[in-house]
Amino acid sequence: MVDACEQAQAASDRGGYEAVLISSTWIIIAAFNEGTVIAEVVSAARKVFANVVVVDDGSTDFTSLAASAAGATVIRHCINLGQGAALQTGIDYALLRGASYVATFDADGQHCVEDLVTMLRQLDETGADVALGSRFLGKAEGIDPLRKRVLQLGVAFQRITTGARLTDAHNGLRMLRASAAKKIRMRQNRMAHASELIANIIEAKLNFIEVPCTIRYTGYSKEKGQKLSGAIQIVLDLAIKRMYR
Amino acid sequence: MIVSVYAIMQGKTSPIVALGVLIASFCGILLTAAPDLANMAAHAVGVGRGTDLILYCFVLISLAVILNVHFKIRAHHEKLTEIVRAVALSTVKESGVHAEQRAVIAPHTHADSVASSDKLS
Repeated sequence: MVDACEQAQAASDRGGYEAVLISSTWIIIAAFNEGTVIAEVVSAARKVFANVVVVDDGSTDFTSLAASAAGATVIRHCINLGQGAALQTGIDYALLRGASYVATFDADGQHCVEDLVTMLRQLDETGADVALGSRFLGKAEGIDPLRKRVLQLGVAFQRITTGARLTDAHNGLRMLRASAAKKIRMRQNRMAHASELIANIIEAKLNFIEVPCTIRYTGYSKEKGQKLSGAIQIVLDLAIKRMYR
Repeated sequence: MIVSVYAIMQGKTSPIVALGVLIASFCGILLTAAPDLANMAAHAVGVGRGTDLILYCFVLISLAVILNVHFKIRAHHEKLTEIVRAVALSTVKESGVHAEQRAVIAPHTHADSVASSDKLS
């Protein structure tokens, strides 16, 4: 009977401890004209995490209103800068508010909130600084073969340019300890920020882990998501960035 | 000469471009000032005439300058990003939960306002 009580207390302590971790975790969602889906995404995130920030990157629809009505804190860029810029704004805000962990989460409904909880647990257990989602360790539902090939090329490109050994180099689902988030800064406003972030992690000698995650490709997310030709722009952006300070 | 000065001025922000422009402009000056040398140099690198070599130098310089202008535009864009970010962070629309938390941290009541205005008068 004593053992059962002790077990119950331990379980309660773990649950309480996890609740503390969750309460100090901020979810950053960059959104551009996601008025039709953002409320659903925010609501799903807020079922677990109280601190959800939507950075409206100069939307011309009702994204801000919908996000705010769903309970998110909304930060609005007056012009469209790009996902990288929006995420950095959200991270800056979360750090100002005293976040212990910050996570980036896509606005188009591709990501699962459960994966964020898994990341938080794994960061806490392993002591790593950064958790990077990997659809290739987890599941990529509805991915087409061409996109899969391009993503795999991206992994190879990342390995050549930064030495980072990853299975998924371009996943928007990530979680960082606040101490790690303070050491990196995304200056690539557009989609090259994903590669830049990996490079920053390597340069800052941060410990990272890859966590299996599920990416759900829908007709909407494929339509809104990054075009495959964007990969060329990313390579150009990164190459030009190396040539000037 | 003007291009050389421009190249030196760009040394801090884009050293690779600055060096390239400096080398190309130096070659251009030298080859223009000494046409015989231009012809010799042209033949040495497989170009037909000295004037053609000078033209090629000019094209290289122009491309380097265009690249440098692109760098400057990017640098301005970074500054623009910081401005937009600062404005955005100063006008955050907090969710009800966080707005309430801030109210708890720094409550401001009507009584406080009256008390402070009494002190001023």
